[in-house]
Amino acid sequence: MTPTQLRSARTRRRLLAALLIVDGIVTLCPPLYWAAGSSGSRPLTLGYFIGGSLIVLLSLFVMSRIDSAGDRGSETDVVS
Amino acid sequence: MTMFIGYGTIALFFATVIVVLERSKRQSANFTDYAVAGRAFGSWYQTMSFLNTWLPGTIFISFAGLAAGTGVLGFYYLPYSLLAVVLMFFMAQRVHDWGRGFDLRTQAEFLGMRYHSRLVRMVAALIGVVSSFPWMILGMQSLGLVFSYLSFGRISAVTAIIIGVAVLAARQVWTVRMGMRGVVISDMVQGIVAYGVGLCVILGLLCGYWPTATAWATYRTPTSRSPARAVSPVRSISPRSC
Repeated sequence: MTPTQLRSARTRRRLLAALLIVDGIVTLCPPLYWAAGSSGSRPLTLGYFIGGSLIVLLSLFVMSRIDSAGDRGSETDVVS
Repeated sequence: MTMFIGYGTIALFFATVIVVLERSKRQSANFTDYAVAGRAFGSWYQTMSFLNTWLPGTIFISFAGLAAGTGVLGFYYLPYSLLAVVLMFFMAQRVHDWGRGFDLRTQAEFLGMRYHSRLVRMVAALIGVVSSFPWMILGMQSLGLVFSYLSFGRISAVTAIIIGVAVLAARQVWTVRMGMRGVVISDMVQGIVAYGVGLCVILGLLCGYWPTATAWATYRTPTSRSPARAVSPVRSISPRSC
């Protein structure tokens, strides 16, 4: 995804919505909890919580970057 | 001696918070300055405020206890809390813009204006008050547990709760005097102590660098008042294991 493409408001909205859905599934989907909890595998259970939290955390950074790219794009539009 | 260390640490922390609050004290110019600290604090302060509202009470005490009882699934709250931050990412700018633009100070004011309804505003305020009761009670119980454990079994649970509530009430003097500014600044101090100093203490305990074995060996549970038989996990880890 190039910075030019990220300047499109529609693309940004879609990306942000996709990240929100991924975060929602990772953190709120009961089957994932059940699978992680009933597997009997400690690495899998801990991996789910640590990995899930990391995914959400990283998505926040990505969202912030996407948002900043949009702000820079709108500033460039105003200047030009 | 152990009780002196436990309560002395709390007293030292409390004194630090008060000194910082008194040194940073500033007269509120108006109600906005008092209620939302003049919207003057940046993201570091806001992050620390959020962390110290959620983490100590819910994750460190309630959900750690739930995990101890039900297994590691009790930690579901950790990623769930992060989702709240994601939702804030989408809402924060709008809430900030509206708040600044229309001089909104409370959640009830914001919702009342959003839906053009006095009823929504009243219901939101009512929910805010009623929903805070369970948190308040849990907070008092947690504080009671903290004071009970810090006395190393020398103070009963009821007395510990009374001491905790008394400390909480004394703390409110500065909250009432300084408003949100005082809350945010004390959250920052709390965060530095909890995540900075606390991390060093935890690492020190795990690595066995401090002579805590004697204190743990004489540790008594708050209810039984008898020496604990369980071997402290601190003693079972050697410094070489770190």
